[in-house]
Amino acid sequence: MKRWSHWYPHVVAATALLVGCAIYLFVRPASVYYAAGPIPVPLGGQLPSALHTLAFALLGSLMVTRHSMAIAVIVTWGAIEMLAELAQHALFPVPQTLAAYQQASTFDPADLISIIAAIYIAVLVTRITRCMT
Amino acid sequence: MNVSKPLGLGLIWAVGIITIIASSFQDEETVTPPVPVTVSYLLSSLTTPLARELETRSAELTVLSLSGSYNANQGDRLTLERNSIELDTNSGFVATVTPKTMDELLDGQTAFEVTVALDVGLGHNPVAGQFSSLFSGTTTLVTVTASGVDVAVGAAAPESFGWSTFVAIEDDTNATLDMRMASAAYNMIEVVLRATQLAEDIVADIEANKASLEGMNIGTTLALTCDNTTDEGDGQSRLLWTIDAAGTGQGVIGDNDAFEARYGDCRDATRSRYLDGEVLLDSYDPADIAELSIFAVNVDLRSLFVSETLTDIDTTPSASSPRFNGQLALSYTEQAIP
Repeated sequence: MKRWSHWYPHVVAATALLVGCAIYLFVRPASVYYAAGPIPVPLGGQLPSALHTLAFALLGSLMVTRHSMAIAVIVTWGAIEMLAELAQHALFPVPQTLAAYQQASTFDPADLISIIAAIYIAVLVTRITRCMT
Repeated sequence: MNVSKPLGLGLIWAVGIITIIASSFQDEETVTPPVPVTVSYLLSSLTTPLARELETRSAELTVLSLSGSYNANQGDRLTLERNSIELDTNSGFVATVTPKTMDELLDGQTAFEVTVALDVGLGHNPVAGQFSSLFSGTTTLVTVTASGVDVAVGAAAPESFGWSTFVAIEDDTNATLDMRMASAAYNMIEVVLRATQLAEDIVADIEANKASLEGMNIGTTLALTCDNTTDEGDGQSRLLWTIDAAGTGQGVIGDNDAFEARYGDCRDATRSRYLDGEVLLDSYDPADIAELSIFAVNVDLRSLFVSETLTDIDTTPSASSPRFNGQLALSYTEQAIP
């Protein structure tokens, strides 16, 4: 039987996804997914980026067995998120197929910081989990 | 080699990338930005003059034409229910005061005219503007000041009053008749505004109960609720759709329809007033939310008490329980801002 700590990344990832969805539903009136609210949430603009990065970094890390590979997967996912954020900047060169994405989105330097913070948390959760199991 | 984990990783990353792209549409405008418009309004006389009856005298308005405009967004409810509205220069009316007792000396006609745009409202004292009252050949000029009004009767030097004093001059038997008439004329604006907002309330009731009214036979009463507390008895409010005009809107509430509102000591908490009597609305032209809108209706007040306290059979019309009579036409038009 697996120890409870084995499920830490699953729980953190699932919670991050649920909270991220809730922010789109209830906090951001400009969102096409907006349902009700708005409920003021501190850092409501940056939280979705952080939560998305954290959730997918942890879910990806669960697909490898070695600790070093898990960290590599987390950092790789962080790089993908950073690229996606940078691609929102009008001066960032993107292929024609991503032009609509660039136009529809808003670059925010604070999102880059939130992504770095999320990667750091994901690494911490992974380390704690693997130390305890 | 176990390929399920790399496949799983690929799938997770694919979902992650798709959700990044999907979330980018959070900035998309889903709400049409409001379109600013100017709403022009006109409150005018009909055949029967709008009148206010007090214990000692009555006053009725003829040649009523109060106009102005306010800024709003297209599709907003067309209403003069706001802190204040600005009456344009040349807005005015003729007020005819008729005494009901031998002691009452205020008697005759005055021509009220806004000479500089005047902001008026229920519970609001104007902060700018000027108006004149032409009574018995003498013009009384009332200029709004920071602390009230300066009142100049004919060529005499102006006298300064606070708003509460000026409003009360109508009943001050020591004041000159010119001043009393100017005060009485100004006070009639409250009557116009109360009648206007009452008509707007009835229209709001009509629109809120449209489905119910359309599901009933013409002339059937629809009971609405009043705001009476248990100590205030059972206030009554009834709404009737009385005429379904022929034409494209027949069968549903629409253009040229008519309505009747009946009140029995019905307290309106918003206005802190009791209503007792009847109001007829006809020539209904409901606002159209699809484009630049026009709203118009004719209002007929039938001996309607608009009172600060409960009325009964012995209630005498007074300053706190005036009785309104007569007719008034409301017309509001949205206009695009160039």
